[in-house]
Formats: sequence, C-alpha cells, structure tokens
Amino acid sequence: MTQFINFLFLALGLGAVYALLAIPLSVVFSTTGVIDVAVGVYATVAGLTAASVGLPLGLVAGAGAGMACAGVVGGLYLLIGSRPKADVILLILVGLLVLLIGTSVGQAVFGVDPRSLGGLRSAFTPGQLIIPHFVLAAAAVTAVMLLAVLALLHKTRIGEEMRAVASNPQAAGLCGINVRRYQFAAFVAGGLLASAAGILLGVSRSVAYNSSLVLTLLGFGALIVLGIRGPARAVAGGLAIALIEVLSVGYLPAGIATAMPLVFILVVLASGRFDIHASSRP
Amino acid sequence: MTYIRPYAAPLVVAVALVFLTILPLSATQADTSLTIGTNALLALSLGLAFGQGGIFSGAQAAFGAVGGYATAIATTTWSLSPFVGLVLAIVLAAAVSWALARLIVRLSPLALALATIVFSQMLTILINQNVGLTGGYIGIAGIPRIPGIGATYRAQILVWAIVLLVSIGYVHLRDSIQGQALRTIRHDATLAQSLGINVTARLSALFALSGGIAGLAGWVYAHSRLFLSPQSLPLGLSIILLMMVVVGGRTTVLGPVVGAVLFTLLQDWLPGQQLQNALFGLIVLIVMLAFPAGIVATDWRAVVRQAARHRRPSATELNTPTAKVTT
Repeated sequence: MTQFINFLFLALGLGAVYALLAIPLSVVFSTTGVIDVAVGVYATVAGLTAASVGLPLGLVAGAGAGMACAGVVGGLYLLIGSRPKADVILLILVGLLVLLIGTSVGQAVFGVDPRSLGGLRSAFTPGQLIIPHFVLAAAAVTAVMLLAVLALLHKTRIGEEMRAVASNPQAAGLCGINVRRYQFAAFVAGGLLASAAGILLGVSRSVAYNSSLVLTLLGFGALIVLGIRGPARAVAGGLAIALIEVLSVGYLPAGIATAMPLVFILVVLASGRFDIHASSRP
Repeated sequence: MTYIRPYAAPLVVAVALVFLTILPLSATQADTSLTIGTNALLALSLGLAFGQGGIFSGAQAAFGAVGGYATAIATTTWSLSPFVGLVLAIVLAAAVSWALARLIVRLSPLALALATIVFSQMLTILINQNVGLTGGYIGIAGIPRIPGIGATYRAQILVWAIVLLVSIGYVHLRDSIQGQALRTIRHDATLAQSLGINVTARLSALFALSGGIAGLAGWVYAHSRLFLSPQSLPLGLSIILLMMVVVGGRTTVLGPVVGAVLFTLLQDWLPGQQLQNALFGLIVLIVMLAFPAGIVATDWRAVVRQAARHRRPSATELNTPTAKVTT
C-alpha cells in the first residue's frame, strides 16, 4: 500500500510535467487549429540549455531558448498556414521536419549524452512514504501556470480577445482584433510552459537531444485522453497518462511496461471518441 | 502511345535497372544503389497508401522493421531459410498494418497521422525492451544472405527488380476499378460510402498491401545489410520517407522513386555528420513549400512560362533602340 501511494506521488510529479506540455498544445490548437508536433523540441532545448548554463541563470536562459524556438516555429506555421493550399497534413509535415531539424541541431550543440540539472534530488520521508521534492516543485509550478493561464483567458481583456480568436478567427478579425498577433502569442506563451516542462525534467531526471518526440507524444496523449476541452482537462489528462506510466512500470513485466502509455493513447485515438477536427485555421 | 503512357514510370525504372545491371559499378556505388533501391521500395509503399488512399502513415519504416525483424529472427534464431523469412516478413507486416488500419483509418487526417506516429514509437519501445527476442538496442547480427544473391552488387539488382514489379503493380491498381474506388474515397469518403463502397475495408486492404510491400523492403534490408537494430529503420526514416513522397509527387507512381533517389544522394553529399539532418530538413522545407504538388507532378512548362513572364527586361534590352514591345 505504501508503495502504491509512493507511486501516486511519482505520477503526480510526472503528470505535472506532461500537463505543462499539454497546455500549450491545447492553447495553440484552439487558437490556430494546429497540433504543434514540435512542442517537445522547445522542452528539450530549454532543458538542455538550462543544464548547460547551470542553476540560477539556467532557468532564465532555458526559458528564453525555449520561447525563442517556439516563436520561430510559430512564425513558420503562421506563414505556411496563410497560404491558400495549406492543409492539415502539410502543417503536420512541417512540424515533423522541425522535430528532425531540432533533434539534429540539439545533437550538434549539446552532444549525445543526457544532461541534468542538480538540485532537487532529495525527498521528504514522513513515515514510510517517499515524496521527492521534485514532485512538490512540479505540482506547484503546474498549478501556478494553470491558474495563470485560466485567469488570463477568463479574467482579462486579452483573454477575452484570445477566446474570440479561438472561436471564430474571421469574425474576430472583422471586429478589429489582430488575429495573427494572438496566434503568434499563443505559440510563444506555449513555449514558456513547454520550457518549464523541460527544465523540470532536467531537474528530476535528465534530458537528451532525442527526447523531443517522446515528450511531444506524451503531451499529445495528455491533451486528448479526456477530450480537447481547454487547459484544465489537459492537466487532468497529463496526470492520467503519468499514472498509467508509473503503475505499468511498477507492476507490469519490463517488456511491455514502457510502451503502455502509448498503447493507451492509441486506444483512445482508435475509439474515435475524441477525434480531432481542425476547427479554425491560421 | 496511349498504351505506353500509363507505364511511363515502370519504363523509367526498367531503363535504370538495365543500366545498373550492365554498368560496372564500384563497391561504393553499388552500396548507394542498394540504399536508394530499398528507400524507393519503402517510399513506393508509402506512396500507395498516401497517394491513392490518402492515408498519412508515419509508420512506414516501422512496417519495414516488422518485416526485417520477422525474417531476422526466423533465419538466425530458428535457422529457417530466407525464403520462409520472405513469406513471414510480408505476411506479418501486412497483418500488423491491416490491424492498425482497421482501428484508425476512419479518423480525421490529423488524428490518423498522430496515431501512426504513436504506433511507430510504440513498436520501437517494444523492440528495444524485448531483448530476448529482438536483441534490444544491440540488435541482431549474422543474418544470412539470400541464396544466389551474394554480395551488394546482386542485391541492388534484386531490389530494383522488385521496385520495377511493384511499380507495374501500382499502375495496374491505380487504373483498375479498385483504383477508381480509392480515388472516390480520397475525394469524398461519405460519397463513396453512399455508392456502396466499404470504405474501411478498402482502405484497410490498401494499407495492408502497403505494409506488405514495406515488409518486403525490410526483408531485402535485413538480408543485404546482414544486421538489424532499432536504429536501422527508425521513426526518422519514416519522416524522411514522407518527405520523399511529398517532394517527389504523392499522387504519381514515379514521384516516390524520384524522391528516394534525390534524398538518398542528398544525404550522401551533404556535409556534416550531426548537422546533416538540419540542413536536409531546411532544403526539404523550401522545396516542399515551393512545389507543393511534388517534382514529378509539377507542370514545369507552366513554371518556366510563369518565370519568363515575371522576368523583368534587362537594362540592355530596355536601352536598345531596336527592342520592340511584343505582346
């Protein structure tokens, strides 16, 4: 039982990280209709940069690098999406290309060895329980980020305009809202959240140049398992995916354990209940 | 002429095959030809699924890996003949892709694309983790050669012969009544359904065929490289195969083959080990955006005409008194 509860804490920490990848996917998808396959690249770049620079300054450097990547890629998506013949497939291909380029550049700049940030390796041990400090940090960061995003979207003028862009870009444009600026902002803000995910991973485990794809897929899984209905669901989805991962690694044979989150994502996709239809386009 | 025209693509492949057979290739050239041929076969299988059925597959190299591992395990662990391995490779890869297609083929393009990528990653993890069966990260070495097809030189002839056969089959399928049905599905699945076409069954069958051909490519790979690891046919290759098909021309037969030739040569020529994929990605991005229909399907005469119209008259032309304004 104690072991199970320890697993739950671990899942909370990991789930918080996955949620930080799912929130940007959610915000970007609702404002632009793009599933940003490159989101894992921002996290990886941020994590690697932070680990290379070192702790106090690395946080800023990592976040900056991640947001810069997100800005460049977001600009690319918007540029291509505005072409008359652009379709969903083309945008997915562009995302995959960015993933390929990001992995290659990451390997050239940071080398093949995984990097990690020291700092939060210790744990609370009340009784027989083990609560890593990282779990508390991750949960706190994600909670603050989620609240900030929700407050921004629902309590401010900017959020109101952003939601207008999400629900109907053409009408929003006619009302004098600068649609492109908001779509671009969604990418950059998403880059910040993804950077936080990358840095947290660097603190708790390690990040390598080829982590991008797995991070994207786990974030995507978190986004869809409970349906694409905004940031709060994405966070719950992240926790669900992490729970499956932790429990299967804990209790299933090693041959299939690490594949279980992906099996779960595939099953959810195949059920067709949460099919993704691009509602609005950049 | 009207009888030959549909077979233009197989004809080009046949001419290439003749040249590859009679030219005295060096060992390096034969090796490059083998890589191109294997990639062309994989790209052709993807072109079939993507161009004819509109199924975006990010798992084509993974189906190749299924075929490759099937034959590798059969011939090394169980000491079976490579020809038994051939049957296993095709059947297993076709079965896996059919099962996957049954599950996901009716999803929206975005969900379908991501589902295939998730599947591919899942397979990579399973290959890595089941060390007893697949050798894990280390892979399987000592895969036997195909009897009668010894060195690289013969293997590259074999793979191009297979590419030729597959491209002939592709043309037949495209121009048959089945091809018509697939075209209808591609344009409007609901309309196709209303005409009595079983969309899921047709697309799954097409995807199984495509997966089977990929499995065949995996078989050739395993028995010509004699070594197979999770890094042999990785997800990155699936992405590059997609680029080959899109840049070459996704609706054409020759497009994937042309894409495979260009991309493999480009990868050989580009400098830099680690940054290679980055340079490569940038070039592909630019070409893909400039010619969205693909190199083979682009109307080059129209492009040239367009370019000529936009070209400004040069200074000498303007200053020459004899220059006349023509319309």
